[in-house]
Amino acid sequence: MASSVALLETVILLVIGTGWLLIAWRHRTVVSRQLCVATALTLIVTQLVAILVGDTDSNSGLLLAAGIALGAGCSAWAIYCLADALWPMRMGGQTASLMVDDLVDTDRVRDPEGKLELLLESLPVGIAYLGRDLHYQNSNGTYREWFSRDGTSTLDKHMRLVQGDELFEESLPAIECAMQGETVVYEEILHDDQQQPRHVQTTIVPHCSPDADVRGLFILSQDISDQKRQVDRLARSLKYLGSAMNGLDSALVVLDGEARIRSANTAWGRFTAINRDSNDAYVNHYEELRTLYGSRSGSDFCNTVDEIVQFAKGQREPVSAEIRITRANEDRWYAITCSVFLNEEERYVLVSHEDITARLRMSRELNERNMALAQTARLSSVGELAATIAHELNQPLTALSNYGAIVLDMVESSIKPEDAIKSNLEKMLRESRRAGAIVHRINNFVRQQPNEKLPVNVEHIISEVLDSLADLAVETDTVITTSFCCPETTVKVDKSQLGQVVYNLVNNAIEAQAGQAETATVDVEVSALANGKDLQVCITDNGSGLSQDIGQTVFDPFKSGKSSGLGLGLAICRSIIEDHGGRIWHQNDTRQRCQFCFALPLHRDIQAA
Amino acid sequence: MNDKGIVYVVEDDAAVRDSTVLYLIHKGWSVSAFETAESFLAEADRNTLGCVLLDIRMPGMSGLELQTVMNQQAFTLPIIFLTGHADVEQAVTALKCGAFDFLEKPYDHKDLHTKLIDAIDAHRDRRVSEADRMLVETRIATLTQREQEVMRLMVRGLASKLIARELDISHRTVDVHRSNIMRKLEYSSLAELTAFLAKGGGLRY
Repeated sequence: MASSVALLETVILLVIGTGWLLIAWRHRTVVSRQLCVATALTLIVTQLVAILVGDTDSNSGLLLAAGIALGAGCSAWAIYCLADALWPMRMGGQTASLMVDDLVDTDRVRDPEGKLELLLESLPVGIAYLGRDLHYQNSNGTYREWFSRDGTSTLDKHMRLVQGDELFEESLPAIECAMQGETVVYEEILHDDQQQPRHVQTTIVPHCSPDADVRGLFILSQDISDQKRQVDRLARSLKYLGSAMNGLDSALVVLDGEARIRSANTAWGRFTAINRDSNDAYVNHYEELRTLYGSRSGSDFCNTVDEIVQFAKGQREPVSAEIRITRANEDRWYAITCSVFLNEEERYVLVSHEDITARLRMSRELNERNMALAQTARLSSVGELAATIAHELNQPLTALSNYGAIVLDMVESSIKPEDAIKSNLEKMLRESRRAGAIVHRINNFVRQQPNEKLPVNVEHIISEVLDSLADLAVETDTVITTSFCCPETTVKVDKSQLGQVVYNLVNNAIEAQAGQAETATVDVEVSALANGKDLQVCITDNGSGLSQDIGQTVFDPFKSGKSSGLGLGLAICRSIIEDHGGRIWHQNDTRQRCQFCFALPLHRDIQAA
Repeated sequence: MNDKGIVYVVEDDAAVRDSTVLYLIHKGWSVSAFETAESFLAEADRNTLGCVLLDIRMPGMSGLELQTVMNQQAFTLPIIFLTGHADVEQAVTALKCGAFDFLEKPYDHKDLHTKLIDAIDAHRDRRVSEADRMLVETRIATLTQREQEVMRLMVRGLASKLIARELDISHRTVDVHRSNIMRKLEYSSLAELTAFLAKGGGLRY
């Protein structure tokens, strides 16, 4: 009976202990969990010992005493834990209420305040409240993770203790400032042993009473490492870009819509420096260049400056110019170009001043070298030229001296036949004119005449030339026909030069047919080439074609197939046509007739295109 | 008889040709003018006494080319080249190829006269010796093979007895050949025969 009562008692006590264990499992906070576990262990251990001993009756008094002693010890520990847990409740109202809630936190997520708290706890920003005494009164998980050195609770600990001396000293000025009632934002770098340094931007907002006393500080810390890295990258690439711009020899300057200088590179400093060793010429407006350099360069530069200012203001097309500036008694040449770019819908102009002195000098030297080469090449043909000219001039001179000898003889004789003398003198005049014409032709060839290229209709020029050759055509029984295609088309040429080309080719065609049995004909045909870019003119005669061996050498100077002539006609044609960006060639047409053709690029009006 | 001979003018330039012809005619020369080397070759009379005034620079067949063709065709007219100042090289070539002389345009008229006369004289001499040679060759052609052998030895001055021994024939036969040779060649003495053969370049015999 007594044993059954004891067993029942044991069972009841075990159930109660297990209940306490369940409670402990359900509790979240450390303190209450410790309390529950302690109570449960006291009960369970006592009863288990009793059961194991098995003698619930005889030794029950001793065992009970031992159990009670153990239970009392545990309880004392439990009470200490409880006291430890409950201590803060007496220290601050808010925290105390939070801690009270803590004891029943199973329901916390269900009420709105609890939700808010959970939210704050798990936000990826650090949040804390610091009392006037710089002791934490509250902090969320993120804050603790970042700032607490040991990662444990910050509650009621001094800031220095939590953050460590170094970090605390760094933020002290900001905190002192916030204590004066100002909101402070500052950045700090948190070093974690394992990870990269964390950049944190901390905002401290003072918590003020209605009479402006600072009661505490709200602290908000954000992780800005990613932004920091991006900004760093951007800054670095900007730096590189800046170095590159500064490394350029061209002076670059950015003008706004009023031609004010917004940005410039290092070379600009050198460009605007009057003296080579002083970089102190500060130019704020592009127009100032005119006064700065007006006296050191031609009026060209002043004009260019005006044009660029106009361009910056959007009043004209982009400018490109080459200008000379005399600096330290040295002429420097600059190529100036400009372009527009938009920055956030605002119009800016980038002006580049490239020093091309060295390049110009090089190209000039190259040019001189080429000239020397060409001169050498030409010298070899000078001998040829001399022989040709000598032969060509010797002909009329020989004729002149023959006629002269006859006339002299006749005058000295007693008969003096007037008619014969007169006819011989006339022939002498003719021969001297011929000699003059030869000299004139050589002169024309040697002296390159300046030309003036204007858009003209080629067919008009051809008609004019053919008019002037009409008499010759009649004399030589030559039938000249034309076939025109494009009365509206123009080609940019020097009218008299192109006229000479047509004259030479048609005149050659007429002369080539002199004395042939077949009818002498010259066909002048103008056609637009299929490529749509060129206009072609072909002059075909009825004579037999040149052999293909001769090929294009017919255009070389001093290669004449005629009894008289310098062999310059076709050479002149080629030089004129090539000077006009065209080409000239010889071919035999389908009927093996001799044909000379040239093609010239069509003139296109830029506005029209 | 046309003692002075004909001056052939080959010149492509019309004015030069016309003035030269007029001048030469005025000075009493007989002139025949051609515009091209080809027409000269085709039309000129090859048997007349004269010379050629030839322009060295001509389209088509040039003066030098014409000279070559004339040499090939044994066309013996002496050539006076008309050259320009810069054609010295060509003139030298022409002289090496047997041109008679050259004149630089524009030429001095006295020079022209002298050279024309010299050239035609030379042509005349050449034509005479040519005629003589033809005569000798014709007459020698009438001799028999044996008679020509005998004549060659006679000219070398061999006596009849030696000739007989040389040709391994009788003395009498040599005498018959001798009298035949003298009769056929129409000479009476050995001295006359030797002179005659020398004239036609006949020392070959």
